[in-house]
Amino acid sequence: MPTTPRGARARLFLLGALFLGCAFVLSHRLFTYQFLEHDRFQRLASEGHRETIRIVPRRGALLAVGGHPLAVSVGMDAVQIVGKEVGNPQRTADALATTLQMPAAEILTKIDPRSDRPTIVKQRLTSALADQVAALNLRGVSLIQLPTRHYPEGSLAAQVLGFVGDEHKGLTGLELYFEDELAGRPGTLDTELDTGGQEIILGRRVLTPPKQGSDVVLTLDRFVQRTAERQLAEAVQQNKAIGGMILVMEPATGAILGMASWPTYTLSDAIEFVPQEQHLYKAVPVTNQYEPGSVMKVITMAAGLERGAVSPATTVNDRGIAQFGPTTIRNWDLRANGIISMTEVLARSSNIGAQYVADRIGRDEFYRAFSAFGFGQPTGVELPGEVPGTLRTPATADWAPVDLATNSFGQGIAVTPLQMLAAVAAIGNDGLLMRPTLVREFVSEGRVQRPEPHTVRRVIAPETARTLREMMTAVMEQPALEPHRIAGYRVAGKTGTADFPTNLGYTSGKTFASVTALLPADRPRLAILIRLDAPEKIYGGVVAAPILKRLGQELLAYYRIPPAPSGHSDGR
Amino acid sequence: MSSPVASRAAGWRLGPSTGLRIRPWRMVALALLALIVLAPSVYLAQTGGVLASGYTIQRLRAERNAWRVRNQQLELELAKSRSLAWIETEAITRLRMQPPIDRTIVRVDMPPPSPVAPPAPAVSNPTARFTSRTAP
Repeated sequence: MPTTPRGARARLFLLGALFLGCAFVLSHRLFTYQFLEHDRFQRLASEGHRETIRIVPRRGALLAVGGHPLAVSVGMDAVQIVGKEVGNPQRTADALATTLQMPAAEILTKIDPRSDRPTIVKQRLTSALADQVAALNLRGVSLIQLPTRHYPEGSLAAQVLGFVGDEHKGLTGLELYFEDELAGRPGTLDTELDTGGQEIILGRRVLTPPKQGSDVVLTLDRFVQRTAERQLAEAVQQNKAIGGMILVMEPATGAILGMASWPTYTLSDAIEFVPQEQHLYKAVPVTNQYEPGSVMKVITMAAGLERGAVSPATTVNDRGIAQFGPTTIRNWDLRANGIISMTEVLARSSNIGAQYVADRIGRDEFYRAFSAFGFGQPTGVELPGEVPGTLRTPATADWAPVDLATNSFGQGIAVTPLQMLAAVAAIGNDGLLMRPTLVREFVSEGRVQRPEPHTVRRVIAPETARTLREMMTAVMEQPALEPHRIAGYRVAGKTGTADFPTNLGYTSGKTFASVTALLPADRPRLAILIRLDAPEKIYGGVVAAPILKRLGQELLAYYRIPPAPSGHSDGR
Repeated sequence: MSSPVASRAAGWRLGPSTGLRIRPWRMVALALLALIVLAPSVYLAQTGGVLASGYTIQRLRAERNAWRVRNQQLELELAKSRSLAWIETEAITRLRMQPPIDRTIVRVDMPPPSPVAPPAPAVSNPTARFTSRTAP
């Protein structure tokens, strides 16, 4: 049937209108995509192939003197499985079990066929083992490199070093205290990836480099630490004690060379947090306080000598008993020593003599001196959880006049072992109190930062310190301690025995037996504190002095400190 | 031989034998065409080369990192072998060593150094320098 021109024109018009409509719709969509929603589509496109990769910085190492690594981070391979991608779970588990030396059943529990999230099967693989796993070429099984913390010296200085958690962040000890320095700052790489997940070289690439963690070189000497730990472990066992500690410090700088305490925990590479062992994770020498007992008489005597209240030749009539209101004070052996000099007050560890010195000083000056020695305030050492100790003064509400007497021989006052050692070390440093430190230097990306030793204050004059060291030498050279002398060396020291305080008073038969010493006496290179907790034989002179002899012999030989030429003096 | 002006006006000859003349604008058009055709190819070739080099760099970088990690792992093993605990165990169990029971310190009074060093003794036998000076 022939078409009329009119009908043809109408169809042409319709077709034209249709094309025009389509062109309009297309133009509208084009305008919308290119201009109105440009940013959204740009973002969607970027999300498809752009990725911001987090660059994890290397965690800094903790090093001992001489650069010996105590805690280091190393990347190690881990095996991960994406359950959804695994073809045959049983076959995969069997193949991995043989290579990883793990039960196949354990691996099977980690394969969830519905999960598309990777599950770690085993961490800390050696490179050789990782190569074996890769060679298996199992579907759904891949290797991932994770940073892991290692302790090459084992449990050495475990409580001081601390450890890191699963997220590679410090949880205790120096690992926690220096978290910011050790962790560094992560960087980022904003880049474009191809369909295979590989970076497109010609794509836009914005790199923010990471700041690697700083290495911290400690003042700890691994030989000193090891020797202290060994001597302590043997002493605890021999004396049937429940614990103890040995601290070694350099008096001139306050550098802590060794800090051993028992009981401790096992610091392994793959350490797991055990809530029952939480009390062992603390650096006890700074977190726990105790009554130091007779060791404190040295500080009382220092205050007395410095203020001119007494001299080494000053005498006191020790009747063995003194009354303070309702409170009676007695000597440790319940005996009267008669008329004795101040040197004998220290040698015989006379409570009555110490109380006499405190009385001569006067309460305000006495507590001023104790505060100057650092008691009642944290030392500032780089360890978490340090406590200030307890020093009651006339300004505090619960102070009583009898406290002046008891404090003079180390009772009614609580200090941390590190405070006590720092105070005695000040006597060895000619009267300068140094802040104890565990850090020798920070090494960050090639730059070395060495903090200077920090002098807190002068607590006594150099002459007073020398006089006091002579008196302390007399203590260690008394006949009762003769078997524990170090042949060829003069040692200044003081033993102490303090009762265990409880909520119901003091526990009879349980003591803190301790000794603090300066080696050699004339020019001290080492300050040492040894404490045993609840030993079978309760006195410091009996249990701590022998440890001092053994430890001193090893350390003097290690540091090549020559004996005194005459056998009595180091030839100052 | 025609002058340069005449040559430009008449176009360039392709060769003396062909007698074919090409107008300058055609020459330019041909060159442009060649450029348009060749440019993408050159660009693609260069891009491909850079991409290939980039992937090679990536692979080598990954390889270098892997070796670095292996090196660190070996250093860790070395540090563990140098640890005091390991040395003590080896000394006691394998070498059967014991801690010294007592120490003797000998003080030696050293003579002051002489101002002129004595001449070194002559060595007749070259192997003598590796032998002990003490009597057997």
